Amino acid sequence: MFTFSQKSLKSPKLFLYTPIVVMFFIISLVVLPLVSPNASKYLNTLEIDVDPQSTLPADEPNRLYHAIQKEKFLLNDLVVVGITNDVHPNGVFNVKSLENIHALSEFVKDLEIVDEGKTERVVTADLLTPSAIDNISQAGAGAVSFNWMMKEAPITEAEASSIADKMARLPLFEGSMISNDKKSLALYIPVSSKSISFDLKNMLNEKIESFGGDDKFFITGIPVAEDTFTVAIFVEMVKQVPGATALILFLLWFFFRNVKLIMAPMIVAMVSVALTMGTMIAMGISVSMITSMIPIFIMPIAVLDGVHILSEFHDVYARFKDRKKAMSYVLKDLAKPMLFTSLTTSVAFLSLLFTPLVPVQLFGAFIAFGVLVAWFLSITLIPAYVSLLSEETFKNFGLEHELEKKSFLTKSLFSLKNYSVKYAKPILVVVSVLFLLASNELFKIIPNDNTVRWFGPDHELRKADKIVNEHFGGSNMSYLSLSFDENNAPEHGFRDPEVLKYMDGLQRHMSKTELVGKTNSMVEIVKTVHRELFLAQESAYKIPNSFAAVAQVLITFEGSHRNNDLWHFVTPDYKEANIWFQLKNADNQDVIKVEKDVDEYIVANPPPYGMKHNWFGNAHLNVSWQELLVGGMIDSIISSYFVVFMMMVLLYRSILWGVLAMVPLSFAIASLYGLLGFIGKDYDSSVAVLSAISLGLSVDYAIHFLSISRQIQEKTGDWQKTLSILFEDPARAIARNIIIIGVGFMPLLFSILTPYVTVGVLISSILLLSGIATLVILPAIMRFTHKYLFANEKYTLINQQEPQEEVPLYIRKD
Amino acid sequence: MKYIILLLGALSSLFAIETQEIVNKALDTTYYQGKHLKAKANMTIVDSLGRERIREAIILRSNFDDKKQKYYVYFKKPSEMKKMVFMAHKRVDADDDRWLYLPALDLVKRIAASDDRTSFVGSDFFYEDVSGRSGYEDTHELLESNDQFFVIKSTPKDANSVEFSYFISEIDKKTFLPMNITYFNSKNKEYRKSEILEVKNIQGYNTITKARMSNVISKTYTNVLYSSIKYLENISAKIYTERYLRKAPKKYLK
Repeated sequence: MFTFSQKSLKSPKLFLYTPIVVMFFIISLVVLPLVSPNASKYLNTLEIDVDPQSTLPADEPNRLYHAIQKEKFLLNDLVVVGITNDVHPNGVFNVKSLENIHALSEFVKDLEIVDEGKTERVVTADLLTPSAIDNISQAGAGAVSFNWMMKEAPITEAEASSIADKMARLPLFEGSMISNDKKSLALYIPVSSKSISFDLKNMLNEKIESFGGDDKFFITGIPVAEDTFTVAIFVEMVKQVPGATALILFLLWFFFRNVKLIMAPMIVAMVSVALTMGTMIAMGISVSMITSMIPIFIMPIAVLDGVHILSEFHDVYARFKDRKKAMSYVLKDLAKPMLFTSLTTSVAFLSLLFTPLVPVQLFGAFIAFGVLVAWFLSITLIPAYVSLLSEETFKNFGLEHELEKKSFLTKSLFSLKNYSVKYAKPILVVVSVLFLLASNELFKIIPNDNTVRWFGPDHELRKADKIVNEHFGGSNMSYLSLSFDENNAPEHGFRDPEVLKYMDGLQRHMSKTELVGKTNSMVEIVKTVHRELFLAQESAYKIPNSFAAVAQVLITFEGSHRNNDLWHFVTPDYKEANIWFQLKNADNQDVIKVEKDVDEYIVANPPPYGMKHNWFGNAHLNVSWQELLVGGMIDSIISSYFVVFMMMVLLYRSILWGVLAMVPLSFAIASLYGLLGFIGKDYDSSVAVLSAISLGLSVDYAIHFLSISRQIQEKTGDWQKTLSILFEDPARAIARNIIIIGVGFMPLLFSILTPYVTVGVLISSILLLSGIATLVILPAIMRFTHKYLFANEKYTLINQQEPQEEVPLYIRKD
Repeated sequence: MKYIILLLGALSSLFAIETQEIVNKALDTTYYQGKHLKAKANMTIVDSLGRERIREAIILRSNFDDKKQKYYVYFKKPSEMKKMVFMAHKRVDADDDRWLYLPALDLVKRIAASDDRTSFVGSDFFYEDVSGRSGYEDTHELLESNDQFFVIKSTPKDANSVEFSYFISEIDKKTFLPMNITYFNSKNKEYRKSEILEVKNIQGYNTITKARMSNVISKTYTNVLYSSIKYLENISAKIYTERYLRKAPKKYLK
């Protein structure tokens, strides 16, 4: 490794310009297709994909099943528009409001939206608005009529309120389209592709703005959440990277006060980010919620090695007064710790390959790649850059070094050390107690995720979702698919009255549970049409007793305007049926609870003909990828913990030292996740991803701390002296890194997207905590273990294998 | 000048009459040929995924004075539709009367007049397509007269009673059969299409033997195949009554 650094000092231009040229080449590969359409045939351009489905591997059984069932039942994703009116006594069922709602419905009818060259549309045939649905009613003299619920907007108030009565009579719509208090309406707008949801939302809002009046419109639904998220990610990427760059730039300047010099780690960071993202996009990999965070992760990590180099360079330059010699000395000194810290970080990110989720794997693999690129550039590009600067640049460099000894940072670090050693016992007791408490809380962490909660609590989408779920059955659709074994199926499939009655019982039972707002199936259709055939008598609201009667009720329904609605509930051969569950909440935990309730009911009430059941829909898919994520994360935490530990043992050729290196990060991670369990924060996708990688990042401080302590101990032979020296320049370098990486992730806190904020808070806290833990716990432990740590002189000091330099290492200038 | 305008006016109204006559003649060939008709109809309803459902029925049709017409459609297949009957009494000057007999529920259900543009037993055909839409419900405009077709645009007089904003028919100049009818929605987009796929000369009448109705947007279609077509001397008028819905006239249904 050191030879690369040596070469870079000899031919600096080659090592500085090559990576920059490569970066521009990769960037042009990505940008070219945007400029020239011809190139797009061969090259890939930026694509964003936050569909939770894409999180799952293409051949994942739940994903396959979801796709098959969705097609089988001709289902589309639904954009939900909730409309309330708190001013009019009849809510939205007044002439003015219904006129607006009618206009809105006409507006979306046959609407086509072009998305990335593809024409997508509102699926008019399945539109659920008062003007698009059928009313089934008595038309006198034994006639049953299927007529449009609200073909024209009503003219009189009496007409307007009669629409509420008509809708509330139809179980299919009661509670799902019209609220139980008969004052609010929900429109369900099916879209041929989720990708137009954001545009549709904006078009709807524009139209709504032209209305005036007292109605409030709330647009929500999983496709809107996902598509809005896609757009938000673009904004975040544009916003976050410059924010992080500016912050890191400022910190570097603050620490080193040399603009020319600090450009070196900045170039390393930019080239690493551009190379990594460019490679990923050029490979045709679309950017997901998780992979969109790659730049913001690489940025602060990429400058870490640079900070160590510059810190030590800063400290020793005055002694050499020769930039090449000083740099060569620094690089030799730091070669091993830098290699190992970069390797442990990469290993932690690579451990994400153990999760079965593609975006998480990509995230891990590409950051690991970026970290190694950054490491290589740090040990080659930085020396090359420095040697290309004139000696003039460093005229006053490092002179303030002496002053720094009296600086606040130095003083506080020094007293920190004194306290750690003095109060070693109480510190270790407190740490152990905290660790035990935290480990206990760890098990209280509940895996949970919710697409809608990807937005902050004040986001319009969150508010809309809340309102819609208060008034209606729920904005989250989960589907229960029912079928039979080929050889045990009833002759008439789902037209068998016994089967329908079983479904009816299940639905009634589930509607009573708190989480299910509404269920719909062909049962509601059969019962409603049967009632209307028999003069709308409530006693006729039932499933008829013979197959042929059920079949003929259904044929009657087929004579309606909306006959295709039936095929969303049952296949045309009646061999498979589907119950729609409207859930009040998109929380995965709630979805799991509902699924469990259904399982329990089915066990307690064995279905006829051994009927089988399976879930599908967005809500269920989110659960399956959550389960995969959590399971996969446990594997990656264990594996990365083990690998990092082995690397430490290898680095120090000692199990004791290896254990020591793992202490601060174990404490930091356990306490933070313990805290999460304690405050009841859900273990969602972003938290899960962090657990494994924070391990690889936070071990860095311990590596630097322990490596240097060994080097110094070699010379002093006294652990107290060693610590005193360690808490000067080396501790300052560590402290600088703690601050840079802690602050580098801060821009994430200002994101409108909750996962970004969660990641920002967690990673900053873990790194700050493990940094502090390193500086506090390790000296405390050393007080009790120095005999075992340093007594055995047989160990080989890895960094001492080279012959001694003429310039002495850390000698305190008292 | 005045005379020229008058002349043009007279000419245009002359053309309008002529267009209406083309439409009337097309309706006559499609729906009124022969005094009595018996045919077997096989319907295949195909959804967007290619899944098929079938209907098999015997159709009886008789013409009466003043363009009154009566239909008796007796279902044979599938098994759950066996003995179901659809009956219609059609008049030019008033709404049609329609009935559906559901044997399993022992129920005769009248179909409301407002339902004439809803699905006929789950197919892509509407009730109105089965018995024909009156030529006087729309205003007709001759768009083109080429070697093969009269191309006529028909716009509804009462736009609120229908879901289309206009339809364009291509009427064959020789047979006067509307070979293609395309329906356009309020956004001027074609969404529904009727095609005559096969015509045979039976007992001197050009008769449709194969037709298709498609929904362009939902990508579904229904094929109907007419066989055993016979133009009969007589069908007893009394079978077109409610009494015969429950008691099918066996001798006509073999």
